[in-house]
Amino acid sequence: MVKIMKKNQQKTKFQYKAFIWLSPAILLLLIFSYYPPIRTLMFSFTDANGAGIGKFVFLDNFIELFSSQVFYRSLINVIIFIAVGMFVGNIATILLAELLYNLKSRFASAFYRFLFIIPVLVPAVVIILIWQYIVFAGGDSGIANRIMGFFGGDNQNWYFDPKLAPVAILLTAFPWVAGTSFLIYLAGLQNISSGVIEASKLDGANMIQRIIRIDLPLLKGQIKYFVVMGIIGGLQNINLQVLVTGSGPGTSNATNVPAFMLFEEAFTYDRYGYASAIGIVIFLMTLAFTIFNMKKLKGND
Amino acid sequence: MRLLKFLRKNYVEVIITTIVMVLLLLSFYPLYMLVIKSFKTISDDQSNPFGLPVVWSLENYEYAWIVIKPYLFNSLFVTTIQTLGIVTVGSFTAFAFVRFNFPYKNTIFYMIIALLMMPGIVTLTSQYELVNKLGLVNSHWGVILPAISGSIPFATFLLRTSFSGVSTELLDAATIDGATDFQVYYNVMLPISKPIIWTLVITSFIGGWNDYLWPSLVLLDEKLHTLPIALVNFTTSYYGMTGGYGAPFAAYVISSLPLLIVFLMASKQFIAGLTSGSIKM
Repeated sequence: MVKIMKKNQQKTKFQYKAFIWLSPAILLLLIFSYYPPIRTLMFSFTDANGAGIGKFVFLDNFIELFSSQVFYRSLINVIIFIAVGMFVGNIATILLAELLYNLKSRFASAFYRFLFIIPVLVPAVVIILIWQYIVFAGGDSGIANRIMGFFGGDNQNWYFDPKLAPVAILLTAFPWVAGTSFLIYLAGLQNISSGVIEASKLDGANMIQRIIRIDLPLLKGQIKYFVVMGIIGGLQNINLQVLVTGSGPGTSNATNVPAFMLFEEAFTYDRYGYASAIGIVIFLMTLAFTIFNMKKLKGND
Repeated sequence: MRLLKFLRKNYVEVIITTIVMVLLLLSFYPLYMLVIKSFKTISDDQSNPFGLPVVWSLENYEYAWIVIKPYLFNSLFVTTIQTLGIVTVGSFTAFAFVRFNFPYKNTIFYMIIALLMMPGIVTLTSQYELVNKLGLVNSHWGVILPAISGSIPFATFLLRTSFSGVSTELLDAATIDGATDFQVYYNVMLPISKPIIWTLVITSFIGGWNDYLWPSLVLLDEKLHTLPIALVNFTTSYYGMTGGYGAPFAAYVISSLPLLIVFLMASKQFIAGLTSGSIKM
């Protein structure tokens, strides 16, 4: 009895040994995750060029950014890329999850699920290179041009045509279904209790009604997660620009996005201060969106 | 007649299977083309870009292997250390939050989780300056350490959810039996949480293996390059030399194999962990 009471007392006490377990994380995070944002904020008010902090210029970088045509073009591009990419991507993956979920044969469902994971395992850079050199290859040897030819169209330059380049970026990795998000959506569906499904059937709901009224609301937690992660990922994913298209053909800025502007300003022109200001603006956009998303979706609960 | 009857009875299955097949075809066709082309000689590919190889040639693989081998080992080294680091530090952190009571517990937790909302690109400039100041430019540690730090928030978020599902009685029982905290962590918590640990291992491994932008900035010395950087350079230089892509395509296939192997080893655990419901908001 005494022992138990002693134990209960101990439980309310702080166990400082926890900090031994936390120390590797705290040390790493302070150095590599908390110091850099503060430094970026400092940079953004200066004309730093990679060698030291530079001269304080207050809001000059931000004024330059907001009066730059290129920035607005990049902003519109990234909004289109994220909006279309996420909308189509999430719908396609949920649709695929629904298809596999509605298969009666458990074996077939598991087997297809396995097959759809394989493309995820191809390195991201390899996917880009495949699309650059095989799918959107110029001339007669590209798959896309072959399809164009089949329908009587002309060969196109895809990534290097000012009009087509943004479309080509959106089409890359079509049909966008393979991904871990698809696994998580499928698991979400499989966790819905069969009782709910049966009840909906008794009430005479068809498959479409069931998907809209039951499945989607129950997947809300997962959708929310992938929307937030899709925005954060979409704002910073510039592999295609760095590897293939750059800011777009000529001076069109057809494929430019703020993150690529940041990258170019920092590592091509050594303008750390201006690049950091772009970074701060990207961060504020993420923050605003996250808060909006949390509030809005919470309200619907 | 029989076919008609079968179709009428199973039309939902038939439609679904057809759509799934089309999606599979669309997903796999570019990969199929890659594999096919990697076995073709340059002249073969030029005269018949879409057909099967006239002669299945291993030449491309032999050449590609010699070129990319050192970079493959660089990638394996960086990715393995990074993954071990993420899993170790992440599970230590999650264990602390689940097992102990300490001051500012919630504040510290939110300080860690809030970093999930920070896009890495925001700190590209300052991160580079930092790594440079620490003397880690042209060192694999300049890639590994920021990557571990960057993954701690997700790892902690994922593992804490899973760890808190483990019964406290079980952990207490181990402690009463005289197990140290580390033994409770290593002999009880980790084995029970195997699926989620494997999920973290595989997602971290994929992340590390795929990483291009940051390593290409930090690893200036060619000898240190990781596979994605080497693949890009190899493609350009080989095309410049020969006007074809056969050997780089073989290199793409080779560089996809490690992930496939890791996944095949742990696919059951990976899927079980990923689908345990830990990922949602």
